[in-house]
Amino acid sequence: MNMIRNIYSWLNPIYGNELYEYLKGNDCDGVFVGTNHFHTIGLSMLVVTLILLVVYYKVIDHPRFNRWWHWMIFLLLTGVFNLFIGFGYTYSKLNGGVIPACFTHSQVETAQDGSIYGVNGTEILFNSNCWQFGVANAIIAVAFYVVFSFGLKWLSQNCKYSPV
Amino acid sequence: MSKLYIFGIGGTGARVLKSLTMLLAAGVECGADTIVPIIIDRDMSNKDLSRTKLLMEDYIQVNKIAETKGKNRFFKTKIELLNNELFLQLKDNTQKFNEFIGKGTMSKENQALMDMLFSKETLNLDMTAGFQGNPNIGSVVLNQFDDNDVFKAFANDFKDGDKIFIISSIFGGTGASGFPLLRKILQTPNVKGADGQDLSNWGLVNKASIGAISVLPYFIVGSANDDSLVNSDTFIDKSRAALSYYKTEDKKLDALYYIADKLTTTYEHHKGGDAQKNDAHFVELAAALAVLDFVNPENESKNIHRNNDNSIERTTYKEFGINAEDAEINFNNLADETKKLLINPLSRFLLFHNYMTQVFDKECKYQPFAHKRFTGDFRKTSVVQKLEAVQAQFFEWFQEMEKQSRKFTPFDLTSSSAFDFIKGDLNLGKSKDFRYKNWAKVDNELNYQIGKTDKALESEKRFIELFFRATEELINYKN
Repeated sequence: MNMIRNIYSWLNPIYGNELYEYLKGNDCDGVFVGTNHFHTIGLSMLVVTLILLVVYYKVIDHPRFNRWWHWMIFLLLTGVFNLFIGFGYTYSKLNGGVIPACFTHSQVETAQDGSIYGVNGTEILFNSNCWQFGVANAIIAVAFYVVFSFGLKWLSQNCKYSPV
Repeated sequence: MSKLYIFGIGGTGARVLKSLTMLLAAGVECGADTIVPIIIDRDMSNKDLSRTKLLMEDYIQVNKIAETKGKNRFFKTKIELLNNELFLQLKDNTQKFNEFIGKGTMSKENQALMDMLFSKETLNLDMTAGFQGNPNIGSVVLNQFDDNDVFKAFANDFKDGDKIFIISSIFGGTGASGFPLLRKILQTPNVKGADGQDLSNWGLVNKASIGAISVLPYFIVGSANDDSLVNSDTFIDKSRAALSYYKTEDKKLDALYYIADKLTTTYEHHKGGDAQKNDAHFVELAAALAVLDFVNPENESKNIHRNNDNSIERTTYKEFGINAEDAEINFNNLADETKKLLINPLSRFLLFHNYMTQVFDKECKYQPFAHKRFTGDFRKTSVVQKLEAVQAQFFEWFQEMEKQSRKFTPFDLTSSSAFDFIKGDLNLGKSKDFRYKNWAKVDNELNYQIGKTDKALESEKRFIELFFRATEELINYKN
């Protein structure tokens, strides 16, 4: 499963290091403490991608839907679905206040109850980072779609030479 | 490996052989492994003959890819030519009948006798265009079958168990006169060849099962605008006269088939030659079915009645009929036996043709069945071109049958649909897979069946095997 995390790490320049650190399950000190969110997102990405491939190659498997551009339509769908999955997942975490303040703000303070909160005006993690993560998720999904296509297409009757 | 030697006499003989070739191309069941056609006609420039010859030559080429050791039935029955010749050419080349009988060298008395027996027009008849409806001169001129290399080759080739069938019309010249003459020669013992030697295997020929079809009038011709002697007013009288003579053929043939049609089409009047190109007719198709009936092993006990010394005990007489008298007939008008024989092969072969003409070019680069097999120059290979040439003639054959007064229209030839081209309320056993419609269904089946074909087959053989398998799955008529 570390492989999935590594793949997402290659694209962290797109969505930012803070979000990456949070998603891989580290605390503010860089120590792994909790859920590796990449497992959840990566697994969802793989499942969605595989479902779309199975739909294209086995469920639809149509002689009039076996051109390379039909395969491209499903590639785009894979990208779009995973864009929203990546965005939705991180957005819900960000706006649900689940992400520790050290990842969302450049300045943090400690409250009386000992909890840490971010100083207003020092936000470093925005909704745009969620969209950017969605893009990264889409890119990874598209890459998997391409790779899996070359394996799964042989199971198809009518689309085995789609895209090539 | 039984053979059926078919003698097609005259223009009708050639046209029935053409219909038979169409049926065999479509894969209609034939009880003989090999058909050996021999056309006998004086009129070698007759367009009907040249069309049949072209079709058979193409068929023979395509037959080379039909043996796939799989399920294929398209072009499966072998057609073989004796000495590579379809025509039994009479050695005599005289143009005028009076030259043939040597009237000029006869004594005055004999010349006067000839003038009594034959009219001036008949004596001066140009026989290069056939006998133009004159069986009286046909019977004189054709009496030279045995003096021929093809006839010798026929005797050499003949094996025990082989059968003979004669196709002729009764209302013209060549067929009406040639049929009884040929039957007589085939059953005459110890016939000698041109070299004076006994023809080999002639005993086997004498004793062979023999059937014939005599085609009664089914068309008439318009009035002549040249010196032609063909006159359709005489067709019925000639038929009646010939039929009364054919009574003497009883017990000399195992089976004698008759066919006619009262609803006649009027053809343009041509005495013969290049202009004689009659449209195909359902009667010719039905006559071709007589050939298949005769060689059908299941019908042998009904058709052939021989005693212990292999002599014919009685002749079986058969006629072809349709369920209901109708000017436009399709499969629904045919008897169950005929439907069973024809619907699947003809429909499958037409579907194959329609796919090739309407879909193949567009789809071959996308469909897995064709991928790197049937793309590029595949369609330009000689044998595939011949296959498509036969298919084009097959399509034209149906178009022509639609033009007759008695139209045979089992298919909507203008249809661009993969399945709705078959007319009538027939149970074609279509699959219930809702995903695929029309031509996509055909492509889907081709893409499935390609995996069932032998990968070791050369691509042309795999191609024909594939299309047979796919069309067999898609069209499966059950009574």
